[in-house]
Amino acid sequence: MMDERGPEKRIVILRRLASGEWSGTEWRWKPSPRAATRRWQEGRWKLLAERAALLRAPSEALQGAVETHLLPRVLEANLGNRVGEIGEHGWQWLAEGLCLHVDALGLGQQIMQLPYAVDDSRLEQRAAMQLQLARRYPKATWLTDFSLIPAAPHARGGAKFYAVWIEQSTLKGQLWIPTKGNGPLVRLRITTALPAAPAGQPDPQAVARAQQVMQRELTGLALRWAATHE
Amino acid sequence: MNEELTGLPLWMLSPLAVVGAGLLLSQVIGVLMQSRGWPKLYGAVLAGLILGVSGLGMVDAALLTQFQELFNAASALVLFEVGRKMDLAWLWRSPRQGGVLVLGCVLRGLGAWAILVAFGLGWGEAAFIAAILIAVNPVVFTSMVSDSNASGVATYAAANTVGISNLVALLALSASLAWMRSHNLNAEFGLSGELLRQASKLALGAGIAVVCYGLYALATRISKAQAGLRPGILLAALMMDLGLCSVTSSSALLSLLLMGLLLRNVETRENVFQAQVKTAQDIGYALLFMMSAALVQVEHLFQWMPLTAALLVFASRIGMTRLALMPSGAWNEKKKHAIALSLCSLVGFGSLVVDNSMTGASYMSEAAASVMAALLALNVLVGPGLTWWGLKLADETHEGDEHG
Repeated sequence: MMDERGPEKRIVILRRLASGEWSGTEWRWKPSPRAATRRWQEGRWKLLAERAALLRAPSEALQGAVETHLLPRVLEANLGNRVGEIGEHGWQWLAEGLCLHVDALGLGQQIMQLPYAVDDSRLEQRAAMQLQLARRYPKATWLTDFSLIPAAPHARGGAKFYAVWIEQSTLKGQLWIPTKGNGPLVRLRITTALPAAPAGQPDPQAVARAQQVMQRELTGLALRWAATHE
Repeated sequence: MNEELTGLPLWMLSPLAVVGAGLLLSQVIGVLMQSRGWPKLYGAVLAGLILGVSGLGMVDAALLTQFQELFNAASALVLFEVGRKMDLAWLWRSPRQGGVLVLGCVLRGLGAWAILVAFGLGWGEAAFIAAILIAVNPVVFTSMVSDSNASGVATYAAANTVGISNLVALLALSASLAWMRSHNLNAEFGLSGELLRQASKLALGAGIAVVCYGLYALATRISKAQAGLRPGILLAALMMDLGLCSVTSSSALLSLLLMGLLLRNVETRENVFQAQVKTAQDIGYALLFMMSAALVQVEHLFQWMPLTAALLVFASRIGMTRLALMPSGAWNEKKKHAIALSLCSLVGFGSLVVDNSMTGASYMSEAAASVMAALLALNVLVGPGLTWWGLKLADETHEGDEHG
């Protein structure tokens, strides 16, 4: 966690070691009033921040396509100052009382139904994608059909799509981001377990709230992607 | 959230019921107007204005999104008809006439571009709008011809021009889009890459038309269907064509015009065939025009800059078409006036990409969008009337003939 808002900057690293024990390290920096000292301190602090950031990005992500390195960075920026866990099992974080988990992330081949330019996207193409999804997950309850994430008319960046559904009391949300030219298709799926109601069926109000949180997270990630990569 | 939604009774929120009510109103007013010697299409204009965003607000863009495919299918039917009215053999035999009609398209585009640039629009966006303005509105023209039962040399030439103008507009639009997109904030390719992409969209559209036409020919041959039964097979083939074009985002306009052209050669018993498709087309005209009238925001006509630009462009399009007809000796002066007038209507971006939900807004600045909105409003209010007058002027209408 990096907190550079106040006069005193902080870097906190919370790690789970191979032995199963937890280790916590905290650095604090109060910039010196003397300009020359402050400049020197700033250099050291930057080095420290870079090394700390390396811990957050899994090392295998540094290989392969450019988009592969960008995904963790987007997730990290989206996480901000919230509590999260980055480990062997992927990313997990807390958003408005829900524990969100990155279920799948990766690159796929660009497909014709998902053009990069927003102006090229047609309802028929999105209907085709929804059809495909509904057949792949026949038992799913669709909360948000496959759709275009709304963006301002002259905004920077291409089209981004999402869908939200429930499968066996797990809420799933997926993001599809086509990249420029013949680049890969970026996919990111987030899941969260829905709180079980006494009757066994999830509470409709909790589902509606979880859907909103999921949509907000997916939209946030899409905006982050546009801001950092596009 | 629920409190906000209790304002309207449920029966007024059913999109299908609202579209049905709009269609009913269009037909009733249309038939009443027709019996008083007025164009029937104004029934759809009035119904659209009453129910649309400038009136009661029951038919709007949100509703259009729900029924987008229905409206696109109606457009497909109209475009197919335009293609069927194109006579390539006639154009080939009389190159002079064909030449002046194409010249008319080029001059319409250039005239509109010059005026828009003079009004301070950027060169690129002015070219984008001017490319769209080359096209003559197929809904207005074909429905007016059908309503007034017009046939003759001027109507024949104008019907051919509708198809030609849409093709020329499509080519110009592809070039202008390639330029705009390669200079865009989110540009994917350079100009040549974008041109290649636009060309492949056109080629794919043409390929889909050939495949769907092949399926139609095969289906009619296997079933040995008589002419009167073929429209059912045709509608199925058109639906496939539109769907395939939409899902691949290739050019549906080219594809549908081509379907019409190909069918012209195969369906020799035109009258039987035409009679079967006519009802579906009549509903299509009313539906499409009711929708475009419903989306007209009358306030765009109260801003002097967009209105002046729109009026000038509208007048220049008629003038340019008339100017291009000068070298030809095939028609007399009156027929030439008539042709120019009957080709006055224009289309929006959505019509050229056969997707009414697309407005092309991201290619236009605010000023350009307001001029385009004023032009579309003007088109809905004045276009059908002038087209009707043009057909009357040519003295080729046979209204009421079929009633004896």
